[in-house]
Amino acid sequence: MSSKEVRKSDIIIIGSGAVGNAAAYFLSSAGRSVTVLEKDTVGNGSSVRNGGQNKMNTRGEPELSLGMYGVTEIWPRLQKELDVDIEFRKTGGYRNALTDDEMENMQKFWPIAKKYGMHIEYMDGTELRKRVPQFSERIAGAAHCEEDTWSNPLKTTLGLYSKARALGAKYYDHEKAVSIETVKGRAKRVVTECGHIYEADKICITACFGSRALLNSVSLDVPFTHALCEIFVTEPVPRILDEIFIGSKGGYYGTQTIHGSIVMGGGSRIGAFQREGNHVEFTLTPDNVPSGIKGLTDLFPSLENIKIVRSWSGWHDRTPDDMCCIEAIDEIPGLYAACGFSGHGFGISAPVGKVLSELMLEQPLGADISKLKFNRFMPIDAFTGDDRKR
Amino acid sequence: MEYKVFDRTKPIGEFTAQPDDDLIICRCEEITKGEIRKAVYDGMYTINEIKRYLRAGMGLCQGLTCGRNVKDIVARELGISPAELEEATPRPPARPVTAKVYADCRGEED
Repeated sequence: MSSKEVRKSDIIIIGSGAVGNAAAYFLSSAGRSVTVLEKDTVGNGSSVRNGGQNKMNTRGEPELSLGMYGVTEIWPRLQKELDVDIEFRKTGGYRNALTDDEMENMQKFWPIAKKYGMHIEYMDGTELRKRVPQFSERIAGAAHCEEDTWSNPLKTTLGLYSKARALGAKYYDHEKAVSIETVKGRAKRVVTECGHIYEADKICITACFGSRALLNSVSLDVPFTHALCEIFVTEPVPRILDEIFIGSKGGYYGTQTIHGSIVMGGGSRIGAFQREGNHVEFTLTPDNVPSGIKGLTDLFPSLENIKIVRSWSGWHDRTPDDMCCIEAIDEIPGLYAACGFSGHGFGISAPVGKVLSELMLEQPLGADISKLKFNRFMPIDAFTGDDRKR
Repeated sequence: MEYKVFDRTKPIGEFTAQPDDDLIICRCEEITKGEIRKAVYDGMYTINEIKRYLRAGMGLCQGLTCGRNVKDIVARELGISPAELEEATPRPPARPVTAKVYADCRGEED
């Protein structure tokens, strides 16, 4: 492509993760011409480094409408429509508590869950081990959530890409978007690192951590920080449980996949303080991964001899309230963004992609996203020291 | 080494079956040559994508056995040299390690 040439389409999507690819798929299905710009190779970020879970039982209320839209409509639809088996299952999930206090704390979620049509059942440790005998004796009780789901993040991300591409979406690898340009106040062009120019009436940012710099290029900002998270996979073992599982305080989360291996991860909580640029995201961190694996042997004492075959880590784009941002940006017509998923974005990636497509197609929205605008992050009131709300 | 950057917008033609497509290439996960070739036509142009799409190289040996063969097959479909394809991102441990051993490396006292 010569540097003067401008590539035009109806819609540009920046970032080919699960959300960007889902939006590309729904928009291409609706007959729009879509260009997807990817700074690396297709789906090589957090969309392929997560545990595949949709932990409805731990989401903040503003994300629950999106979550339910995914569970009831969008995930089952993708399972049918894509050419690969994305292994979507309404597994249900256990959230395990170690103390009565933790148990009491989990029960506070019940009225909120009920409001969104979720089904949660609380049980003591004895009942839990009747259902899953391998769980540690140290677990005092659990909450079972019927709406927790799982899908294979690798097959979902790549399956969406493959299908969107077959429908005509154009994917450009190693094409790092560096700025967005407006014409008469509307988003119009994307300029890439190597000087290429792409033009469309609608531009959608789904670039995880990279979203912030792109928003900055049009004088918008969304606060988030890097947080490192680790995850590992075991060899396949005979079936222990179908449900996803998570510690009540978020120390671990995991699943036994259809394949039989256990995928388990967690945050070290020191991840936010890792240095950037030292490639820790591609290597075993000396302390964190063993710490997560200790979580596995504590949770399932009978599995102490299971083999660990793979481990990796990656960055979360973590917002101040641990919830995502998704919106059609009022200040700049034609600009859309979804980012700041704070480590639990994959589970809602499909409905987020669908809602982005609905925003861009000016259709009624399938989920309420009104509490997820990024202008919710306001400085505190300096005089009173209280949080300010818009 | 500069790895090849593919223009994914250029068509590479249609998948055509070959007589040895049922040959197993990834022995751990039982992935055939035909499945790997077909995945290229589904748009999987990198070794990471092939691995994630099919599980080739995700079994017990983590691709130590089949890695080279997978690369050769993908390169041939794309009409390039295998040297132009980047390896799948290495994921530790190099060989399977027992959970108990790993958990102990934290050095906590009992």
